[in-house]
Amino acid sequence: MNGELSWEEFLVLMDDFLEISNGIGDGWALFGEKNVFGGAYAVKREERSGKSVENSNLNSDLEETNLEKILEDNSVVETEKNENKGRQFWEYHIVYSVSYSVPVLYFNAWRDSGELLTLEEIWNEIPPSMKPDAEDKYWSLISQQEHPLLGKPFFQIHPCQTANLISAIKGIAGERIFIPWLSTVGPLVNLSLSPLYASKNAKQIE
Amino acid sequence: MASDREVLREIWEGKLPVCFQLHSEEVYALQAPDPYYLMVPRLSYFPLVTDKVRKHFSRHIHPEKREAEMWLDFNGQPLKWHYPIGLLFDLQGSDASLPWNVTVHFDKFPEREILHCPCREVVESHFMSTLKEADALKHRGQVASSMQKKEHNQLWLGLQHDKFDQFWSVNRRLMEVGSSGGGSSSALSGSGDEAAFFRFVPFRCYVPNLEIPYRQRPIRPCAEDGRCRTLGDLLEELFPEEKGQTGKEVRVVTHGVEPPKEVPLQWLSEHLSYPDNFLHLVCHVIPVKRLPSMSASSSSPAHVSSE
Repeated sequence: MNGELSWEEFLVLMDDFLEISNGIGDGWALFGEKNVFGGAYAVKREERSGKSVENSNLNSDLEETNLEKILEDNSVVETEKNENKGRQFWEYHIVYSVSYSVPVLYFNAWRDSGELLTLEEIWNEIPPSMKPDAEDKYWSLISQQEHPLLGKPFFQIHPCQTANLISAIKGIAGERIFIPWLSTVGPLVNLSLSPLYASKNAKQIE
Repeated sequence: MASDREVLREIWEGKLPVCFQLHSEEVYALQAPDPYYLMVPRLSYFPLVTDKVRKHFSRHIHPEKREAEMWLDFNGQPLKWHYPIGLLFDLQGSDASLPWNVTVHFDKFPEREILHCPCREVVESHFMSTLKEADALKHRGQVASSMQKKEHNQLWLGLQHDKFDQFWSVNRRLMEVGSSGGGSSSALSGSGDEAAFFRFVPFRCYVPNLEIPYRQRPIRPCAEDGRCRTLGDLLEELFPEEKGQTGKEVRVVTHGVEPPKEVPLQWLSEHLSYPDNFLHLVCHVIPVKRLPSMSASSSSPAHVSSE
């Protein structure tokens, strides 16, 4: 079974997904233009507090700069028990890849200052249980790319294996692959899907 | 397989004279350093050719900035290093006089505008992943994935060291036709002589001054009836809004030249693709002047060639 989706199939699946998201208030919204090939995408924004800087294994230079910055800017950072929880803004985009004919997850994370998190910093935000067994695998999976619709730098989960993943999912879950796909790749980038999706999705299939 | 080897050679040898100047606000000396001139291959990427530029200017900037990531701009617009140099020039500089005046920065990296490029390996991984993407369109990725690591290296080293033979001895396999789809694609059947065509033509169309960086569609090089589709067909599909509107015309520039609209897409893909195996086409949508005494062609700017 082929895991590729046509643009039209992608749109149908995305509409389904957005309907469920609206139903459970998960905050995904449609951007762009549906009538342009590959031109529409789903966006979700989240505000989080970052993990402790000390716990991260960043190199010492970087750690120092971060600490200095955070300490300088007390208004936005609560300091408690040596733990600096900076506010972070995460943004996820589901975009259609014209070359691979699959959905692709793009994301970025910003600090309060507007500064982008580096991939090292993002790695440190991922819950340990969700991390791939080897860190270098992560680097080969995720890279900074130009967003195909915005032209701005975003991190991207590389789509070259997605068709295989989708074709495996289709074998189990049928044609509605959006939710199983997103719940597979999302945790890699700190995006977990509410269990409510599963029940709603099941209802829709019935 | 590409047979017009001379065309490949001409494209490979396209070069641009570039004048690099340090941004005036970053000069940390009594006098601004001399500009640095380079003749750079159109097919290459800036991070692969600017080691000497960095060395030249790093003595004239604030000591704290010497290790910072260097970046370039033209006319205040940051240059995307992950686009081939020739594409950047066709896109941004083609109205400029030569040498192309590019400004060098070490400060205030515009991280919201351009990708970070901490090392050459990042360029390599970007190049290889774009090349694999092109192969996904042409051969469902089967040629690139059947290659050995050694062959991938040869593509990269050939580009990096400007070695035509080294690059093309491997790249010719990516330009072969007939092995697409693994024989089971129902979508391909009935499309004439399958053996002579790629599945889709890997291309990106850049329209200057639009918010969206480029347009891309899966476009087959061959019509249902087996006829070769042309650059003109591609433009009609990509710019439906211009179709029938006699007031506008789409002009395509790549490698500093304007290929005729009747060129078959298959030939174009085999011969005018960049080393990443994509056609990078800069599309100017321009109004055709209908004044009786003035022809459209004489009023448009001459295109600067790379020679």
